[in-house]
Amino acid sequence: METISSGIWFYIVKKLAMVFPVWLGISAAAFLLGVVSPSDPAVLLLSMDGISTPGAQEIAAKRHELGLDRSYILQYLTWLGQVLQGNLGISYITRQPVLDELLLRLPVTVMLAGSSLLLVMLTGIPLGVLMAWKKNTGGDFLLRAAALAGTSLPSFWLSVVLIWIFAENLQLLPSSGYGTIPHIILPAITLAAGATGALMRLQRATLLEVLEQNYIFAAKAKGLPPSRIIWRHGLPNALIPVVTLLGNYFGSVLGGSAVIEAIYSLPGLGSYVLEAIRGRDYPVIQGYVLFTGCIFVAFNLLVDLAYLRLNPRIRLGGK
Amino acid sequence: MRKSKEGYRGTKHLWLKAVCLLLLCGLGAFFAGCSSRQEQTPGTDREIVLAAARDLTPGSKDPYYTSLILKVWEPLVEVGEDGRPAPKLAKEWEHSGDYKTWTFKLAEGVTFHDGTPFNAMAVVKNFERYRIISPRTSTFYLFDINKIYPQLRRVEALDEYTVRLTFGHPFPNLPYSMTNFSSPMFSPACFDPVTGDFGGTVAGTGPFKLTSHAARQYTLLERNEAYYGSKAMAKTIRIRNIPVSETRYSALKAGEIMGVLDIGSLTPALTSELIKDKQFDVAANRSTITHYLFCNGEQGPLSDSRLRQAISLLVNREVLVRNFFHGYAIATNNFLNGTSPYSRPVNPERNVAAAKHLAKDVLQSQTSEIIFLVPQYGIDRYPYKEIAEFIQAELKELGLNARITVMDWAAIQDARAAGRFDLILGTQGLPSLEPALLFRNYMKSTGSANVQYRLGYKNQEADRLLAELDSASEATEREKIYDRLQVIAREDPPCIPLFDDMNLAVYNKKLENYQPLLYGVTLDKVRWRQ
Repeated sequence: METISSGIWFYIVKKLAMVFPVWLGISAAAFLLGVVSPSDPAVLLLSMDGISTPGAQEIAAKRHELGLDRSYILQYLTWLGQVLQGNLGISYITRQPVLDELLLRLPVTVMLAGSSLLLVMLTGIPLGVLMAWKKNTGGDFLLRAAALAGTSLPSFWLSVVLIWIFAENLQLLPSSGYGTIPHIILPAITLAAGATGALMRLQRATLLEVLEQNYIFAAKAKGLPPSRIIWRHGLPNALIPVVTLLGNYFGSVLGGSAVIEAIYSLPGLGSYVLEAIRGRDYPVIQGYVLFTGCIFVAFNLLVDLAYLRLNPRIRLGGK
Repeated sequence: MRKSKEGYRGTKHLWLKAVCLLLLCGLGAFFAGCSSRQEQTPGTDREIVLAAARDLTPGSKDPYYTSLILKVWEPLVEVGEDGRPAPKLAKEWEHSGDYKTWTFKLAEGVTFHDGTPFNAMAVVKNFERYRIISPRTSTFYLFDINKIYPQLRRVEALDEYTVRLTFGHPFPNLPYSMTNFSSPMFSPACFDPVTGDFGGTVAGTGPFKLTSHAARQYTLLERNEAYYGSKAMAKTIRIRNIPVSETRYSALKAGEIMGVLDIGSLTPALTSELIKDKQFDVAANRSTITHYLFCNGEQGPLSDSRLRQAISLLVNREVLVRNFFHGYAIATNNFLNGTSPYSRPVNPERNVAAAKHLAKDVLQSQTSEIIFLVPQYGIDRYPYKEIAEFIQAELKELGLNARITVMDWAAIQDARAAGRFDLILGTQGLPSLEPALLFRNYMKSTGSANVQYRLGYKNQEADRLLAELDSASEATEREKIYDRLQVIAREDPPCIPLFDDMNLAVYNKKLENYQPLLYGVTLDKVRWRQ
């Protein structure tokens, strides 16, 4: 028992040690983004009101103020030094510390990602199981069509339709904003639709594969009821790819819900970085990439640990 | 047989479980939604919810904290209904014979929201803040004391309600320069005297107090019961930030918001669609924004001013306004926006034959490929894609084959700086009622816009007039110069004006007195319809 526990810790420490070079890579990539992307932040800042047309001297002064006139290496090292001290820099546009701004918006995105993940799990897994159980019946075909539609429909289209039905016509749910549970329902459904479809199909396929295993036949031969066979013996063994998908999904939602956040006016990380990209607010973009990259890495680690719980056959550290 | 029966029961059980779970989720969502939806039903003191595309309260680091249109703070001088400077916190002003010294009499009995009295010392402290923060960028207007008050030497409090500004150079048009965002007054207690940043919240003198703000979500305003003038009609107004125009449209239809305000409040197409519903109405006013075609005057075919003139003569502005802007714009070929009191608009002439003749002279009956850039913001706010395609079709008549490329504004700035364009569809707002800066930027050989935007504009008479403007101290003399510059800009355009934008106030008829101003809406007059 003690060996297993120390094995887990060794596994976690090993994974964390691998995370640091990944983070360094992410930070370099985040910084490079600012270097290779077109346009000069100083010009954009000075003309962000859409009225001012800065002269060369003003631009040079602003570049100096922002530290953009230094070499790229120096800029990167300065930024990295700040990051290591927990300082992601100051936003060019709002002049607020980037970390504060990210932390302010994180709960919104976590709420959205969590809600949609819950929705995906509550609908995707049971419906996938049903599809597998009712393989090649009318219900299965119907659900497969629904899953295909869920994965194929663009989220912006779905959001427009949902807003039209539930906000404009039925007036049951708010079209936009943040603050109460109803505000999250439509964005969560929109965000969950694609992943639910994918999860249903994946769950069906993996469960069907598991249901062909000998131990399932043995369970059937013992006379166990079908529901028990699925929930106790089939499903747990068909969950590993599903957990992988859910883990990646949560990470990607944290980093990629920008369009949904913009449409539903949710003040989350995605809409924040969209504005930063438009304004070439490099400290924000770099901070965001680093921040979400870290979250993604952390989630992958959690998924790896979940594997251990779900399938004890997976050996720690390849033992 | 027994086994299959069990199997059937088991499956049925499974289906039932799943259906119940889904129903529970659905019902939960339904009741949660119904119970917490905030209805916008009339009631005299009930909160009015409006929406804007951007967060109108950028906060403590912004030069203004919140937009002028929220009427939390007030300037010394505002823009009057006639488009000229009008007294606000400065009740009257006079100048010395050489226009170097200006004396302002301030409104008496005014207090800031935090109880601090508004007086000459408060004005002096605000001018000290202007110096500290300049230049400070903002999504509203960049604040730079050296541009708004060039060569300002001294700001003195002569008595409790008199302030004197002394300049090193005659400044005959000072009141024009200091309107609205150029002379904001805040309580000296609400900003840091060293950094100029705001502390907690902003304290102005306006008819509304800012009571709370959630970044990118909303700004909550409350009527200032101690306001020195006519009090605001509405008790509380919430301005929500809804960035996507389609969502603003849906929020209006759903009754979640009662009106929209600020730049790009609703696209002309959505406005036309919305007012088909009898619940809604729209009021329009002139706007300080003009839409132009910016040409690369340094290289390529458009470096020949005759071709720029040909495009100006060819473009059917009436069709652009009628078909794409649904009538919510004013066709113009005048460089200076129509809201400026110095603007001298003439009906835009369309002469296809003359345009073709000019183009033939330049292109020698050949065709030329040009790069036509369209900014993404123009597609989000305006029907720029359709307009660009229409102009593209028209340009073919001149022998110009335009290739349209849509880019975000930052990428366009980059392409512009590198000269990788021939034509850009874009906007330019009027910096202030004093148009000298705009003329200098665009028409002077060394003007910042002329150089940065690669307009390649060089007109000797314009250069001479702009040099004269520097020493012109009489208002009439300056007016003559502005008149002549507009004529020059029509004959030898630095860029091609298409139409002046309009400020649209789209609202639910449950509200009344919701009217657009030159900048913003009548927020202090708006109330629930009785």
